[in-house]
Amino acid sequence: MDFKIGQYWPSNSIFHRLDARAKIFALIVLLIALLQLSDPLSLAIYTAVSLAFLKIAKIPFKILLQSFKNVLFIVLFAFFMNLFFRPETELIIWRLGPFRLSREGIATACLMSLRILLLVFNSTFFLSLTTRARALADALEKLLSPLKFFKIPVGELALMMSISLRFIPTLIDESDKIIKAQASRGGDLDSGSFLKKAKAFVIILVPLFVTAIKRAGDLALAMEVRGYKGSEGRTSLNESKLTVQDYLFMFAILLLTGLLLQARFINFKWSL
Amino acid sequence: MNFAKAINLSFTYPQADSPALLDLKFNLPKARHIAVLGANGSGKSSLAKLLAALYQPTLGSLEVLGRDLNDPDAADYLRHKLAIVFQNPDNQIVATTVEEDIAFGPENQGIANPLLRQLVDDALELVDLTAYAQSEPTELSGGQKQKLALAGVLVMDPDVLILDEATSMLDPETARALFKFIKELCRQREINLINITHNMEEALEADELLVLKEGKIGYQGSVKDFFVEDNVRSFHLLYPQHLYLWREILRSINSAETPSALTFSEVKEAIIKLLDKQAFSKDAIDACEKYLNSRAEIQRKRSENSPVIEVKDLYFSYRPDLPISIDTLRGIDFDLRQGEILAVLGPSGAGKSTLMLHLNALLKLQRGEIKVLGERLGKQTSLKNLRRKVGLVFQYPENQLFAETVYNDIAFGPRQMGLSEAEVKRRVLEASSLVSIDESFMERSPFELSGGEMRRVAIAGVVAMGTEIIVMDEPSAGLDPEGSREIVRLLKKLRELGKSLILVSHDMEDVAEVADRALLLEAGQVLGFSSARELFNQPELLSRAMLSSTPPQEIIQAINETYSLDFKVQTTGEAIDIIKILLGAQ
Repeated sequence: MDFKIGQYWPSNSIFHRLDARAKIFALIVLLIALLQLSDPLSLAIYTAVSLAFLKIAKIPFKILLQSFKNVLFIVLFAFFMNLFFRPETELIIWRLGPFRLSREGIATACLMSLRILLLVFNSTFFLSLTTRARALADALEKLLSPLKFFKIPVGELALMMSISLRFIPTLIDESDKIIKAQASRGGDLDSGSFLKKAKAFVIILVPLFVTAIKRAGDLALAMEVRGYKGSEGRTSLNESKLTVQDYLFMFAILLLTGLLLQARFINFKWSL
Repeated sequence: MNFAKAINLSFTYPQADSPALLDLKFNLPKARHIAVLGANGSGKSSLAKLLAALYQPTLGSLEVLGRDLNDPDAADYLRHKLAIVFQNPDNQIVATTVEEDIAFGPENQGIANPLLRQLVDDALELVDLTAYAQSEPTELSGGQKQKLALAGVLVMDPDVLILDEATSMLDPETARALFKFIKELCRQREINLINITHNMEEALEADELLVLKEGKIGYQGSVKDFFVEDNVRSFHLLYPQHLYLWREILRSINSAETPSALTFSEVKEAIIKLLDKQAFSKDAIDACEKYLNSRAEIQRKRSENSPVIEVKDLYFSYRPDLPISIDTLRGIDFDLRQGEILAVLGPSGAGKSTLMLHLNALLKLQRGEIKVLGERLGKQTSLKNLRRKVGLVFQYPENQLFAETVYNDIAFGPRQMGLSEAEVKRRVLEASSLVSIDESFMERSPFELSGGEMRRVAIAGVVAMGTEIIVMDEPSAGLDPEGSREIVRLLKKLRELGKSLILVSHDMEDVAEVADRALLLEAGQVLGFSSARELFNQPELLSRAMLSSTPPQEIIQAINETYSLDFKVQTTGEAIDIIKILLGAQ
């Protein structure tokens, strides 16, 4: 099975043990810093630190590359747009029709692609590779719990999210089976015009929806049997409290990004 | 106190036209183990849900554990006393890890740590899932998922456990093990068990029996009386095979004796005792041998026909890119002959489904050779042509129905083949009559049909393509006994029409009725490939693949052992005939 986006990579590293709230905090800080940084040295340090995270979490480098595959198109698009379509005001070093190459263009193109890659990397790393979906849902529920004052059903939303995550692999298996079964009856999904293809998907989607609705009905009964009556008064098995470790981690991230942002001002002249 | 008491109880699902349960009156004692039987559509599943306080009666009253369900507070109270496990293992699991799923119930009750943790750990241990506490539910096998569902309700410490066909989607061996496990657990923890089932072997173990027919109570009383009186058929149910055999034998010798033997071992002993009294002759033994030889001869002739599928040295791995990959198929060799039924047997994970997908090029051939009707599969193979030669019926094919009418669903395959509308119509009607789907169904939506009917419509969709070879994956899984028998009849009809069939299954009873030859797989390798008759009578070999001979075969094997004989029977009918001949009754 291929690694899919949104998948957990089981391991027993410090990153896996951290509270999801600490990781969300770290991610937000790191992403803000990423948008602020633009000089090569800071970015190099930032990249090195990110790679060190991966190493510490004992996640193979290959997994990282696989998560990049999904955003390759966006990265290339950003790269070429920035590389060739710069404002006329810049110092152009090469030109062909609408394509204009400038020093600023090269720098921005590299910066933008690197930023997107690091953004994807950090988000995948903190939110899915090292954090179980349920832990993330719990963390979001806690972080969003102030919204309860505005009558937003935060607990229900979190449970809905968790159930969706639970059923995604089941539905993927199901659709794989349906696709194979319809293919063996001559249902052709790979050829023909777009309209024909869209029509062909009816033979996949209808059965998939029918079974999904049936599953939902069954699941509702199973939940009722186990006394579910809304999130009011529910407890949690893995009730997480922020530990010293979590606080230290958040502090370390703050310190690190703070230093990097400081360094940016000192080395400002290095930037292109 | 009674467990449940119904007075003029009727129940209609919201938005349904006709009632699922009609005017029931019963008084269920608080027995250790009650079985509820009934054909599909008899209302037994609705009764299960009512007893579990998931619905309220539409008319009349139902009292469960002394509480009237019409009382709005009853459900809350009963929620803590009653547990129910449903049929589909996948649809009862809420959380993303095993331990969190078990915790779901107590979390709803507001139980907090450390008690919550303790309860979850105890429940994990109870169902042997401790090692999987952190696993995702999708990593579990079917049997383990049902154990997880069981733990999820047992953790709430119920007085009564209701099983709503909880073993029907598992393979027979796993189902048997799970049921034994549940029974033992209920005995130890003094939980009353109510088993809604169409598994007759499970029902035989009950202390009390309730049988439903078309939404009404048909029988309530002891298990013995129900099976001894000849009323099983009138409920669209079937006797367990050993009881069917026993009744036939008693009838043939005009025994006035009431058939008091009930369980398999009782029946086995009773038959040996009968034979002991009879002192059968050498002639009787010869007659039996002659009879069995003639039966074997018919099967042997089919296996001498020309091959339509030849598979040589087939290897397959789902992850060939990994350095240490475990191959799902490891050197499979077999062939399928024209006009025969080849059974592919083996436990879950043996590679049966993977093998089947290869026959339609739904998986890319990695190593080895597959020939279909003499043509070798490879890169140049036309998928369209291949799929006109081999039709696949997937497991639970009703999950692939999509069209707005039965007719259009069956017609899908033939239309994709580019046939004229007149030819499509001819094929649709032919296929639907083969699977006993009435013409009046053609304009109905397939989603209105019963489970068994949907299954047959889906099979008709493949049959209508007119392929010479048909491969079916567990065609009778999850059906009631009557539905399974219908499938067995269909397989025989298709063979008579000259089709070559591969039947992938672990239901030995169905397979024994129809198979000519059998291929036994285990962990991706061939454990045995011979006539079905030979293979079914090698209990040691079968047990290596977590399978066993059928009850009638086991009875004959016991006779063989007692009298140093060597009869190899395959079907229930053969076993009956052999015993009759030995008893001089035929």
